[in-house]
Amino acid sequence: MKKNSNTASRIIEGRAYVILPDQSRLFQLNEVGTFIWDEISRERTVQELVKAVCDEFEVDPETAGKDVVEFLGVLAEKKLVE
Amino acid sequence: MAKNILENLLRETEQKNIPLTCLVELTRRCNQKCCHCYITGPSGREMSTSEIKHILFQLSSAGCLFLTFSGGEPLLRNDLMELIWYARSLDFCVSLMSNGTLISGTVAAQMAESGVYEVGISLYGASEKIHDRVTGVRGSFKKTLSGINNLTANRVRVRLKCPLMSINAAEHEKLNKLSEKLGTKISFDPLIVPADDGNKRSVFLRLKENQLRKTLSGIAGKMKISSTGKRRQDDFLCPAGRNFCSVGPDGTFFACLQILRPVGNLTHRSFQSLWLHSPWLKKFRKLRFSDLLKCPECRIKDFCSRCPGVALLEDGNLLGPSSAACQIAHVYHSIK
Repeated sequence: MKKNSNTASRIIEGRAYVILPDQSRLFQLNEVGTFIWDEISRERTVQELVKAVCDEFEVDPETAGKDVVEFLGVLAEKKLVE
Repeated sequence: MAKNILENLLRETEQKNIPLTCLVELTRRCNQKCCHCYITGPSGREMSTSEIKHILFQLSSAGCLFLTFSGGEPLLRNDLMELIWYARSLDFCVSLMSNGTLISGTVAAQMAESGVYEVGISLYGASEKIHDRVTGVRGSFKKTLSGINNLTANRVRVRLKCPLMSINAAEHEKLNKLSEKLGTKISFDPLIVPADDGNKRSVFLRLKENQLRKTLSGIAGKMKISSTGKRRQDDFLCPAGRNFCSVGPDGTFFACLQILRPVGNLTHRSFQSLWLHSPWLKKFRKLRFSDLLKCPECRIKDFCSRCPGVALLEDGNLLGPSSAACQIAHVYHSIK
């Protein structure tokens, strides 16, 4: 899983702001989304992302897995990840 | 872009002094001799590629997202594409301001591949006759159009930037049509600023009030400057030094290129040391609309887009009324 190379982004005051130039759209991610976005910069697998979310937010793997997959689905739908 | 997210981001970064936007003037050299250009004097020293990269890295760490490379003509620097690629590797949203004459098909393809957000192209007329008269270079219209076509063919977003002057005011309808034909966005700007050495020769190119009224009535929706909304006494003067900053070709750091008061030089000092600790910036940031002379009582202040730098350069006082802004505000108020 990696970012769409055309995106521009910055984490400001703990929130990631992501722009997809082709669509001229600006997205603001929440705290967990920002954490995952930052992890994706390092080209993580889904399993690695789930483990990172479990460690950071102290949630069980099942809940983290569901949330991560759902979030990645949204990012993919908006073409923010490849 | 999502308007409310952008507005909230602008407000938050303005309040917290996060340098969201930076304009880097890469060079003062240019291959045109535009009659209204504010750049005067020798081109001077230019930073090396590595010096610029070091500044970009610091800007990204400080929270800068929107980065614009301008000039002079930035394509006169051989390392422009290298700088764009580097900026993109730091996740900047990169825009460029150019005259378009040097944008070949190959350059346009590279810009598309790198993910450049937008290229602003200066266009002064819808015909060779007017445009070349403004640029002082025969054949520049054709070259600029070729650059625009190369960009749009590669699906790079283009915005035509059209300063309105007496010489080209009659062109605005044709420019609108040309923009539609080329598949670009377009914006007009009636504010012609004095030269950076204080010379006011370009001010005489501005539209007279009746010309301005006639022109603005037709293109109000495409103006860079429009009603600012309700002015509050505790409003900041402008984004300069709050969430906006500029860097000159030699590394001189400014709150804005229009405010010609150097804050320091980024080849000698770190970005954060200047941004956070400059006594002048701290003082400038404290200024509010209520600190201005005469403006707080002005009955048409809600129509004013006063620039402190232009007020200082043209009228001699950072806090005083700006004659240019007063004229434009009067016209806006009359056609509201």
